[in-house]
Amino acid sequence: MAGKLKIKNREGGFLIGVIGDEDTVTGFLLPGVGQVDSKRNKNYFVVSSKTPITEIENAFRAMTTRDDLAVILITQHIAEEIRHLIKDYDKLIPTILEIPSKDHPYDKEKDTVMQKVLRMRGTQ
Amino acid sequence: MTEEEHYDLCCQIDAALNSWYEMMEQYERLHDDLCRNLKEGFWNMSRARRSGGSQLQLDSSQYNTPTIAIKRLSLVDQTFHVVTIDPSATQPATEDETKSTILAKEWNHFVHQREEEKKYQLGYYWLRDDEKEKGEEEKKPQAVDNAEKAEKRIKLKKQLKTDPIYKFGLLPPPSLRQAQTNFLHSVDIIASISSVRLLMEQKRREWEVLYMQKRHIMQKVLLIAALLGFIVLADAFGGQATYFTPGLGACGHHNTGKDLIAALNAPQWTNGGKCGRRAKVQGPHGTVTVTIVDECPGCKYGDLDLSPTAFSKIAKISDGRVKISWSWV
Repeated sequence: MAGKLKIKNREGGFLIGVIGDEDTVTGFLLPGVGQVDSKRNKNYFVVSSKTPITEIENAFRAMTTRDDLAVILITQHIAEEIRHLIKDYDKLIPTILEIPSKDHPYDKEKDTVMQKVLRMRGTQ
Repeated sequence: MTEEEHYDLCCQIDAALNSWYEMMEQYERLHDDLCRNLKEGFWNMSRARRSGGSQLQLDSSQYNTPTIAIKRLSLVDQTFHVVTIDPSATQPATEDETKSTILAKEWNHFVHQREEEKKYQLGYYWLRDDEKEKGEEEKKPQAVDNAEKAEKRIKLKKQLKTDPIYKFGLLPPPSLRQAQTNFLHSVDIIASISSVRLLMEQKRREWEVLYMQKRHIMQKVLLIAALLGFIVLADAFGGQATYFTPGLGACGHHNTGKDLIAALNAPQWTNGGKCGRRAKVQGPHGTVTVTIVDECPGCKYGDLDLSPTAFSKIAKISDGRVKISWSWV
């Protein structure tokens, strides 16, 4: 059937990437989501209030080009800062999931993916 | 494309859209669930920070040694599942075989060292002495006790090795464990969300294919209709021609019998809309181009009432009524 998606499973499973503030990242490290390999490459990125936007962009780009991540979790207020990158993002793996952080509650209106998805409602 | 096939296609499109809507609702519900769990997790983490004090260092800088992610997502049948990996059983994945064994050795050695450090800090070795004393006191269930304790020890050893909660401190407060459960639950929800996303994208593509099919067909249908319309317009009219004595025509002009004019039949008259239009008339004996100046109330659709001169060009006057075919020019 034309247009059927086929994503291959990866040996050893996919990782979950996290871009967020200190608390969010630590929270996800607790159950064991974090991976640091011998070259000190991490699958998470901590953003503080002092991190420049270029660094966040680079981290985001690096994560999206990795083939061992299935999901990238981004806290919504950081997603706001790199909104232009997320808007143009259209790959299926890794998907981007916006999550709330401790200080910033989740706003459905700002979520790019939700917007893209809701736009389909209008095009009947 | 028959009516039935078209109807089937529309039904398929509607079905695809419906299932997509359902999936979207599920997605929203899952996302709300996720946000709730995260909120709880953050709250528990704050509690842990308060109760843990200085012994507990809850930040990601504790994670600076090579570690393997224990919780991963694996893709089965286009749905994601959370898998737990036992780090002692796996080796870091590298392409070069020799490299991997060396890395594995290094990594294991490193972990072992770290473990020993932690155990020492915990006072693990002292604990063991304590336990030994206790074991001597109780004689009867001694063997059983020892076996149990050995099991516990192995479990604790394994936990120290694998459970990342110990990275942040050696005696995690219960609220931290609670937070860990919350985030673990969140990871499960994230797996479901990703699966739903995949399915949604699949459905959307199916819908798009069907929709494109439908549009293609509609375009074809419209094209055919346009063509048909065009053919009808370009078609010639067929009817009968008679002749009359022109005078003041319905279009407002005075005409004589010598002019090449005609009166248009009432059905095609359209209230003077055809006044001045020229028609090329083909009769049994010839062709003539006439201008419409009048209405012929008694004429049927396709008929023309010509002036005597025009009539004589296409037939004998004595014929009176002849068959003609004509079209607009």
